[in-house]
Amino acid sequence: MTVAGERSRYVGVDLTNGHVTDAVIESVEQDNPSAKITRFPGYAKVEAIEKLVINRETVEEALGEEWNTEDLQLIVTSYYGFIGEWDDDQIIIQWDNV
Amino acid sequence: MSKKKKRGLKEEYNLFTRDLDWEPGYVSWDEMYPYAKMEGIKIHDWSRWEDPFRVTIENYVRIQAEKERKFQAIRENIDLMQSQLDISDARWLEAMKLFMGAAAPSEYNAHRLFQFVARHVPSPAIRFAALTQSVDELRHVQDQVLMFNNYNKYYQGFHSWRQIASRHWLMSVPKSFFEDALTAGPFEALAAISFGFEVVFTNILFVTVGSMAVKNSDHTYTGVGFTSQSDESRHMTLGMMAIRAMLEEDPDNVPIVQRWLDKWYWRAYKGFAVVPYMLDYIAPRKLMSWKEAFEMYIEDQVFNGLFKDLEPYGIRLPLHAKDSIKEKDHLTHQVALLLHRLPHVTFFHPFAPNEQDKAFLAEKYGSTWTDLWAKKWEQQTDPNHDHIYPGLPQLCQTCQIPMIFSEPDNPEETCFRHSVHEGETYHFCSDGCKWIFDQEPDKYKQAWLPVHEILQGNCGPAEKLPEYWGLEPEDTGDYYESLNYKNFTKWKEMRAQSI
Repeated sequence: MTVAGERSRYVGVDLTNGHVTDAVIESVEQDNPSAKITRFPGYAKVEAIEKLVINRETVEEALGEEWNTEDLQLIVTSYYGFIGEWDDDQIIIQWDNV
Repeated sequence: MSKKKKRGLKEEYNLFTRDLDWEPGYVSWDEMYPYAKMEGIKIHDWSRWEDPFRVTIENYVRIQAEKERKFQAIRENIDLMQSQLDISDARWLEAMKLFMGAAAPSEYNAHRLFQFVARHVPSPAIRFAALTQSVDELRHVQDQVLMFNNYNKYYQGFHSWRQIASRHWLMSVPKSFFEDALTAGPFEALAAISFGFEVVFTNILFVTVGSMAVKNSDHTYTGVGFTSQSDESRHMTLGMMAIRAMLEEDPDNVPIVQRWLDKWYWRAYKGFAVVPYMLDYIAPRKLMSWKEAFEMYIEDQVFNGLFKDLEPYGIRLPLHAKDSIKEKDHLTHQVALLLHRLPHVTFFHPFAPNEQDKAFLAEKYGSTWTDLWAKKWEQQTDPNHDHIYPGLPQLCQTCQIPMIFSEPDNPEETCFRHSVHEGETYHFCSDGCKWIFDQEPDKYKQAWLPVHEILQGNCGPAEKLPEYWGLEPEDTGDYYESLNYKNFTKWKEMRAQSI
């Protein structure tokens, strides 16, 4: 499908500040070459072009302890894009019709 | 690191949520879902739709309990740390009166709405997601009422939120919005709130306001705002799932969905017209302007992001999206000027922008501020003229906001539209509101318009209106003459002296 976009389309999540968010951000920067992090009071906007991947293993490495992907619910306040996958190992947010 | 779970998320969700549906045996399918076909939505296979969040009752309860524990800890800390004195300025609380005063009862209406959706939309995935959302909304309203309690200990104006919510003329705006959705069919109700409101607008409302609360050191709202907002991603997902299910299941659904997007985009946009005023005027320490927030959340993420993805289904931008883009330079000032003219009948304290506010507005709005709105404020605050408007304003039949908005291409000319239905003339603030009325005149002719009701004597004698609304004399008037301002200034001085 073709979409007439003048520029790259980001997807993203808004995460409330805290140590888990710091670990998720670290993992996102590692696993997504186009990652863009913007800090706002109280939260961070974490974006990537067209597809954003959060890997459990990378988050656990950054966090230094076990982490369930479903616990992203505790820190995510908003997102844009579609949830392409959410299983035990990975969360993918993407635009489907790009 | 190894996971010790017996079943994965996917399997768990399918087993305990989606596949728990059953075929009715004692009644027919049509009897079980009496409203499922009335709106013309055609669904062929509900079983292929699932909630991408994969929420089961077990992880729902665990995660929500964790959120609630965090919130209650913050709430206790506020008393412990005397955080009420940390607020940038008590003026910030005027935003909370407006915003939370409207949001708390709206959360309760959303709770009712999602009970209705959970009962009547014949999809196991949507019913379970709607059920958890209805419980979320109840948690939100309860936490928000606890928050009023926190504010109430120190500040004036939060004592009768319930009466204000059901009777005050300004509150008829969010009330009519939710009641409009509540009296629609189950699919429209879902499209209205899950999609039009949650997906398109909650970001700009709750994320920016939460962040602004952090900047203004309001720990009370930070706590409640972020805990409420943490459920919103799940709510947005329900909206996306529902809209895509409708669009993919049958091409006949596309024009129906488009009409709902056209309607609810405009309803939500107008319904929350006080948000720009909070961002640009009320907040003592600003985060971003309405114009910037609109560009980031609506134009970038929604119009350029989401709607591009819906294009292949035959969906275009909402019918009046262009008008809202044109209005982004003016909306905030129109609302601020209106409220400044009505300090005697509002349940919060309006005020004119100070030098700091003006510098921010000049920076963010450039020539539209210096050439137009700065001059309007000069006239408004000219000490030789009374700025208070003593009468009752004319209201738009659809959004119920006074007729203050301008022609899309001329900010100096007020926009007036009207329609004639069964020999009666109805008035509107915009093409969007007129269009909505014209689609369903028999619904909107019944609107409970506060000004009309006051004039008919249905709200008691005019001199007792504040009492009818639940207001005490010190709840109204200019902020800089208010008890909150005086107390806050005094407390700050006492605190400074004690160091």
